[in-house]
Amino acid sequence: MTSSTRAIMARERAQDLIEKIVKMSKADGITVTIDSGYQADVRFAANQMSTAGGVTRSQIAIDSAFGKRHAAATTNDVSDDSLRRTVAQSEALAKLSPEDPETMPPLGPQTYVPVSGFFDATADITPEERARAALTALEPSRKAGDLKTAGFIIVNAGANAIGNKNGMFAYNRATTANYTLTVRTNDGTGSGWGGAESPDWNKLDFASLSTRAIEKARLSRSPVAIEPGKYTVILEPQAVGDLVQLMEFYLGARESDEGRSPFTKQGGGNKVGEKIADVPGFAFSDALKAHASETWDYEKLNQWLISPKAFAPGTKMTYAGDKDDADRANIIAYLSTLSEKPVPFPPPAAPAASSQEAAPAASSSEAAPASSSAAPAASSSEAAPAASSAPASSAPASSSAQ
Amino acid sequence: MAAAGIAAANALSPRFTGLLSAQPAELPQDDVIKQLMMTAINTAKSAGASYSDVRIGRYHNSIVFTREQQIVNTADVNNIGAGVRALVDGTWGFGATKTLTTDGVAAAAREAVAIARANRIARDQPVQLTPVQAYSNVTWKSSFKIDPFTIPIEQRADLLLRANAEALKVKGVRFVNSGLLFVKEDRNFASTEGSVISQTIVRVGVPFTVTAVAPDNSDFQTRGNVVAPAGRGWEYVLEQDLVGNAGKWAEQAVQKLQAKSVEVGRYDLVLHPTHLWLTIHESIAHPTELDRALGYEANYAGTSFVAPPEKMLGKLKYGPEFMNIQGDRSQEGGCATIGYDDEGVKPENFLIIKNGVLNDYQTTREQAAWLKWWYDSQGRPARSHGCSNGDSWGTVQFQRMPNVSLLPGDKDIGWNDIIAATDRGIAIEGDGSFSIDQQRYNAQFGGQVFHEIRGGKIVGQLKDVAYQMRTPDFWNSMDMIGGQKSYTMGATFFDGKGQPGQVNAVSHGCVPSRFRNINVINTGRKS
Repeated sequence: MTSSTRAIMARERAQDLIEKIVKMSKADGITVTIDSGYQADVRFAANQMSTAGGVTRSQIAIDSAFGKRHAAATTNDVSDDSLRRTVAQSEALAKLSPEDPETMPPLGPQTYVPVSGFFDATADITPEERARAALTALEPSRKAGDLKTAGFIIVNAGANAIGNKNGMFAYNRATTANYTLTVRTNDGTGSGWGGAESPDWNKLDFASLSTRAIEKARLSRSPVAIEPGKYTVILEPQAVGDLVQLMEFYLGARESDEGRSPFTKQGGGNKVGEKIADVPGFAFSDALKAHASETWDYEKLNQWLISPKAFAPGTKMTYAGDKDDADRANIIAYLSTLSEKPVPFPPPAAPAASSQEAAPAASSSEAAPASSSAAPAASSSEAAPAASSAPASSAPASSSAQ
Repeated sequence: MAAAGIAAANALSPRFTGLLSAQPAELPQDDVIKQLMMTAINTAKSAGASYSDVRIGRYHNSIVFTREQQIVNTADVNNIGAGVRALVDGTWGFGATKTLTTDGVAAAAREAVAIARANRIARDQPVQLTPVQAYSNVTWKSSFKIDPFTIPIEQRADLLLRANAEALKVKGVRFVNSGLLFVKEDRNFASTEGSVISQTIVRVGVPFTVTAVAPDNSDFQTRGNVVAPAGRGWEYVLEQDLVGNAGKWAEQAVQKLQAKSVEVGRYDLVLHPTHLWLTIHESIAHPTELDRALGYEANYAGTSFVAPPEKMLGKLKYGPEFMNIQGDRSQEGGCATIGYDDEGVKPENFLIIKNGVLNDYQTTREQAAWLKWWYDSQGRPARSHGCSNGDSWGTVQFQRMPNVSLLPGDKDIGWNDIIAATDRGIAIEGDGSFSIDQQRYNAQFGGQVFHEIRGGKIVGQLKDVAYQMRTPDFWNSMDMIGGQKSYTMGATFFDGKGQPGQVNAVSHGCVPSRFRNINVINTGRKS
């Protein structure tokens, strides 16, 4: 039996426990929530192993209601004494609370759509497998000599149950596995991040994520300072996600309706239905518009990167270009990773890119740069039309940053 | 073993479950807890650990939140369990369980050892711990006079609703949010070094925010963060006189609606301790965490410009000669104040910045060894500063911030004296929103109340103020600081760090201080 199996409260046990707690209640209403499970993690930094642990948890939250008065008490002790005291405490708190005018009536029995978010491969993962996953970043970084890596692997396997006096009961088991890492170059100038999350441990490609972060660290070395001003900026999905998370603080309906949010309409009410962001309409230069009927392919992208001004005389792009073949190949290879459907790179000898050797060494087998839909990232050269990217292995929404 | 486990559980259960009542009893040193702790570390040692420690704790939180004239949330959270740490062949492992029986803690200890052993394949350098004195059967209690958990919820809510009512009397105020957060931690610790320690820590938080809205909804302004959290009891809540001060805070919110939007430019800034504590927290306390400086937080909280230590210690001129920054866990009422840290170290006061120059970092037992070369050069022993902390029994302890404070100057001057000595500037009270890069080098800070200073006098209120800083330049521009009488502590309950993320409560004491010629931007500009 694994640690997860021992820690997760089975459906029948959860239902029995909720029914037992409901019977202890003297309130008009009672809602019981049970969380149980096991969490294990391993952390590494500065090319060293850091902390690693496994935690068995359970928590029972009891919310009692008398009319529109309600309050909650929480415990992680499932003994009868403890449960009786916690019920009594939530009832005492509820009686003391004033009426909540926004209280909603409790739900009765519900029908739920079954979901399948529990994977044995995640729940049963061993400490040795977690350590081996960490080695996908540690080994190459140690071997390289010029890199320092810091990362974190965490797996969760748990169950949530909820029930009330009116016969509502729901139960769900779920697993998650999350990997993030940051690789930095020892000269302090380069840094690359990678990360992914899945309910299924087997879906996480640790080696690829580690390789990608290392590549990014190297590509970002020795950045050049730029003047302050307005630039078109291309953000990875995770970076956009971080901004969206910040916006969430102000997306409450109450705050908007009450006049204390950027989403409040002047004069009263909120901005629901109003256009608040402008996606299309980027003011491309006439020079670039002249290429509008053409399709971006690797060769055009290569020429554009060599010298935007030569490719499109009169462009607003101030970037001088990059004469280094390897740099351009790396940029193109990176942009390709942002594509949902990356176009295969041309073979080294292919006329499209061979003269400049733009295709990275890793370029593959299948030739023929797609004549049709270009590498999506190519469209980002002057502006960033929404069309660009959504990498398949991109970062998890839940990954954290302080 | 099994029979002993059941006996232990039976003996333990009533004591712990008794704490679920609204007025929990004190938890004295308990033979059963000691027995469980001995079981944990002995099991770890038998399984192959060269070192092990165990924390058995009860973490009790209680909250009441209100808005205007209604309670929006009350909750009481009680969490007990044991966390065991084991060092095997130079590699850490940690196991935690809520099952406080002999079998339960022994299983957690075995798991800690198993995880440590599994990680050996990925180990490079073995962990080494600096020596620590053993403290056998010691107890410690934080400096609260009235246990806040003894105050009925009704009384707490009444206080908040009366304060809200006072704020709502002020014309222009539409919303008030207030709350009381109480924390009580009963921590028990034992290690294979021979320590057995029991501690009780109480903290209180009093969030209070008033929002004034312009009649046409064209603007809204808030006044919040008016009371700093503290490592004290109900007496601290009463000292804040919420009802008496609510009207003043509400007036400040309304005045911000009419305040002049700041003109961008360079100003002398006079920063009140209620504001400056946050700047210290972000730009001094975080970058001098040793694990952070060495890249151990690179994947989460960030790194530090105060790195590498060999190029910084004794060399980096952080500020003027009169600038001394102390790390400690001893200040009365400090949120990070504690008798013994989570490695059994009795913390000492230490100067992070001495006479303006970087002198030390925040350390644990593992980290202090990394700076042995520096301590040797200074003729000091390499020992932990007692900065190890886990935010519950279920999280592994690691380096967390102690109280990090700007020590007062020699002259007996204060806030008004510094304003009087300033010709053109802005005086800032209260902490607001901020942004700082992951190395803690470039930052921008807002505030709560901004006073315009002309000719040594406050001439009105400003709004939309934020100042930009590059950390060493900013601190080196400091040219006046207050004396002992003007020393005040600010604090946060929610300093985040680590993976899995943990929170830490920490205080920062400081005095009013002046900074010359600082770039101020206008945050209200539309484009």
